[in-house]
Amino acid sequence: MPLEVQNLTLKFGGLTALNGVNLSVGDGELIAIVGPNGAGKTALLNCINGVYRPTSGRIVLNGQDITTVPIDKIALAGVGRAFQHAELFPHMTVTENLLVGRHLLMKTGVFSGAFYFGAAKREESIERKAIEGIIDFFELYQYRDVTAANLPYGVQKLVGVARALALQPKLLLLDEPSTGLTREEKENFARFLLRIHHELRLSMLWIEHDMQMVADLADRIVVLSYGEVIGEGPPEAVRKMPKVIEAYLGVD
Amino acid sequence: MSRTGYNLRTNYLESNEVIRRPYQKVLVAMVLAVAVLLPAATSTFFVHLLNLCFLSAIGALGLMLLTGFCGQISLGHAAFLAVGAFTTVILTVHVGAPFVVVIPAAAVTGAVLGFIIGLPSLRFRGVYLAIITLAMHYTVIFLATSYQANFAKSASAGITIPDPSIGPLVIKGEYTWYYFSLVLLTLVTIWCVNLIRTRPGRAWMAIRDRDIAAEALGINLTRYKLMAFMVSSTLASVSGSLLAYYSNVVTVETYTIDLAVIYVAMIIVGGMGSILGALMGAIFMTLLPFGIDGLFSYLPREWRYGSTVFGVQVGAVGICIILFLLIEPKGLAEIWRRIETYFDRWPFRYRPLDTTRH
Repeated sequence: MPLEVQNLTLKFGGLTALNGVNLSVGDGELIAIVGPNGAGKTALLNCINGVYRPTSGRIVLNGQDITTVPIDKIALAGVGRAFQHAELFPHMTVTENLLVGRHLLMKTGVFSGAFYFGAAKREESIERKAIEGIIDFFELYQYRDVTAANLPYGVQKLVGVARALALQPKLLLLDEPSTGLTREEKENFARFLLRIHHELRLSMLWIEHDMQMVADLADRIVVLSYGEVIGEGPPEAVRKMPKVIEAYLGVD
Repeated sequence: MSRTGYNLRTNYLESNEVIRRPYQKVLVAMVLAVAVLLPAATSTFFVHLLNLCFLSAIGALGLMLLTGFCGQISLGHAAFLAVGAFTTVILTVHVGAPFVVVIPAAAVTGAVLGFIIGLPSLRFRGVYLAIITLAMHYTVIFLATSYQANFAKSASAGITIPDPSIGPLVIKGEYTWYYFSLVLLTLVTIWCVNLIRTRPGRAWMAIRDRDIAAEALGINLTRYKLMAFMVSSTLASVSGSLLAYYSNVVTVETYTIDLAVIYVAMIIVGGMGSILGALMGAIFMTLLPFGIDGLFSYLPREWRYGSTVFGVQVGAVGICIILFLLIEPKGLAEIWRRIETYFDRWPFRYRPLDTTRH
């Protein structure tokens, strides 16, 4: 099982953000997390990602307990994350952003980097080629040398996903990747999501508000409300659960 | 973003080239050629000024890596220079160590102090970090002052150190120093450029831009921040040691908080996040007081009191920082980029596209 979240609780002082959340992501599974604002969706990703340290419970990644592992080591363990607002490095180009994503796969240090010729140059060449594969996958050709701050918002979010994918993760966390996109950009994004799902067969945990999109694409849906899982299962089943309708979907 | 005509690339490493366009290569070659021939055409005093520019540019590059690329503010750069200078004093006066030993020793001392000062950067940022580096400055200056008072007797005017020598070659006189510092500065610049275009430089810029995202991609903040501090302080310390050798005299009064501010001014005036900016800023800020001095010689005699000139020199530094921050926050490097763009598009006069990095 790539990811298992066991009885996870996160408290900020008197506020309980997550309360005994259980969750698992299978091999190559695309799991969507939905829920009203403040339900704890991003908090859950922050726990898995290592940004927050949970109050109690366990997070197991491929058999390795990563509950108390620092953020950068969690990336090393194989978790890639696309942030809610892309969080690209604004002063760097798309290529540079993606190359930062390759950080863990590279070796160049201060001395070999300063010398450049030899090992560092070879590595730059190899990784630049690998990046070209990602640019190709996400069809970012025209944006290679554009500074991230100058990108359209939709492209920024796409680069955010591409950057998380650049580190060759075993589990990909997507935090509302389609929020704020236009209809066309959303459809475009859905296509990339399906390609990651079917071609790369990557396990994904995907926070999303667009129920139509979730119902069409996700293998399973987890519904969070006030920090608790109130429904879980295939899209058709979850959409009919009374608790989910009451807390999130609403009635016509 | 460069124009399409220059974007035609045939291999992956071309996107990593520093000097991309043919005319830029010619320009760099010309600048180097002029730099090599310049001493033959100017006065000894001007060569002396250029030496000061080149040697302080090494320190400015160090600060640029730390502040301009890794985003860590430091007001302690004068202290790092002092560390280099006093390492030189201690090793030459007490031990009699040769130049080839002193410079690496200064580098190591600088790196160690940089490591220690880097530690608070893991917990503090912005203004708080600036205050901590300021505290470090006063600590180092206190130690240097007590050293100068207790161990270097009759040193109220400073401690003299001998001319450096590499084997049989004694580096003495403005002209020898000119070529020596030119070669050193070129080497250091190439090192810095290489660092910026490879993994460590990208990690620094990532930390500067979005530290949480950088961490989520596996960049060890502790390691890279400390590394930035160490590289920066090493360069500053070496620069301090070289400046000490060049002036043959070391006194703690040189390393005031003013000097630290001047180094910060160098990278602001030059343009944050630009290696070229560090060089331009160092040259600009080093020449500025002498330029003001020169201007004063045109004024009537009764206006030319030393204190007046000094006051104007200090004030000009502040005014420069304010003017650049207000009018051109990206500094001289950005002005140069705009000049390039103008000629790039000539004879068409489209407004420059707003592709500036902000």
